[in-house]
Amino acid sequence: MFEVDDLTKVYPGGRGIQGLNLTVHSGEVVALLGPNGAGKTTALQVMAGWLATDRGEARWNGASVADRPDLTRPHMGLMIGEPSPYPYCTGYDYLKCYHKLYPGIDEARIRQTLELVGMTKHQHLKIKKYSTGMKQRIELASVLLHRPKLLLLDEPFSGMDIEGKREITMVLRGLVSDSGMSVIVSSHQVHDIEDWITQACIIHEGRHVHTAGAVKIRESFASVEDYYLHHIAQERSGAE
Amino acid sequence: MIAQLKYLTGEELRKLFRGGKLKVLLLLSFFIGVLFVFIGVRLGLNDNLPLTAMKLLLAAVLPFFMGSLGSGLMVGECKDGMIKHALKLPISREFLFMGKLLAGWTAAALIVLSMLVPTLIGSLFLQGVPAPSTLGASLAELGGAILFSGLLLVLANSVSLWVGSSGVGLVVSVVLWMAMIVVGLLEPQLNRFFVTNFADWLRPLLNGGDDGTTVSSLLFMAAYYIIGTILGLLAFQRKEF
Repeated sequence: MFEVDDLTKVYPGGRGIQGLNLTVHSGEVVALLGPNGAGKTTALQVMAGWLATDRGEARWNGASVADRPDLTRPHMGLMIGEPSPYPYCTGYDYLKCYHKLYPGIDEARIRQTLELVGMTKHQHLKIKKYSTGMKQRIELASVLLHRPKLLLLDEPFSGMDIEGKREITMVLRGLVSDSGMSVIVSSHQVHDIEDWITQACIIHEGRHVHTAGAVKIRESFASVEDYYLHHIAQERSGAE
Repeated sequence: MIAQLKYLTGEELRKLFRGGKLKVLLLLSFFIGVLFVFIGVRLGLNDNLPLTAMKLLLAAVLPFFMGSLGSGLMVGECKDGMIKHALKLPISREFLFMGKLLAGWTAAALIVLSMLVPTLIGSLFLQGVPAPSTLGASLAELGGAILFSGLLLVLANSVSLWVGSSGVGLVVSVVLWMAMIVVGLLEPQLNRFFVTNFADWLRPLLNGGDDGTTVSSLLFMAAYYIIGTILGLLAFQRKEF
């Protein structure tokens, strides 16, 4: 179980994320929704332990993510911010880099993961020759290589074509249903993840606005997008 | 833990090789070493070619190479976001820093070797096999050169992490290094406190039997290593990605 408790990180100037609470169980897919600059990436970076918190912490099965990377990171897959794989190595070499720091990764697993994200054909091409979508795919492969139990994904479909989006969504859905993997995914394109999520959490200007389960959202709104737009409009009218 | 650090260092070193900069520096070092043999012969330095080469190259060439390698060792990856791949690993940031630093240090040692081994081989051809004591002194000097060059790399890495840019880090490192040379020339009694003078740290012990000077230089060098590593680590821990 992944718990986020009163997570707060405020940058000088006031931006960041404040008082985020979240509990994610096995097999759940939580969407962090918010407009550009709402604090979604900061929230994920703090959850990953990449940024020091001002208050609160993120825990995986009771262990602090920031303090115990040795216990928590083997179970986490992190894909946060622009994908920046090493441009001077091939996709295959990129996956091989550091692989012995995780248990159970061998040649077969690397090939299997490349196939999973549809990169077998391009595995021996230098990454500097990859398109944005291909970089996104190889980054996703590096994240899935050790078969994490929790994925933190930040705008995973940016730069991907429609076919790619559908393919990767299917892969992730399969992993969630087969292995009980949990996912926290941020996006400002709600329709990309609309039919996939089990819980939605809206963030606006660094504040946690609302969280609801997908079933409950669909009881009151036609779509997750409507739910999101409703709460964001409320926030904006409240601010005025 | 040691095995994990060894593996991490190996992976980081492999990455440095793939990056291209290290390959260029190694090739350049090798050609400078070979060139030095030819120039040394013309200038009549046949008697002590490796030692002369070491002294001159440590004073004039290697510091710039170490500055160049050290200033881009970590901050470049931090800036272009490639560090994120390593930040996902199930290791602490301190451990990652040490792996990267050890890889950089090994690369520095390889550069020194690729520059100075040609002069050792050249002197073998010119003078024949030297006396064991001369060979021992040359090898000890080589070890000293590696320690000295590694220190410059550690310090350049630390400076660039604090200033947040490899280019600015290189300039600041070179300016600091030159300032130390100038102050050392004007106030020779301060020279022993500066990293510029460590090129000579083994010579008193080897030639004059003055182990006190060598030990005090060694202590200063160790202190610089510790300070450089701690400052670099602090800057690396404070970095936000």
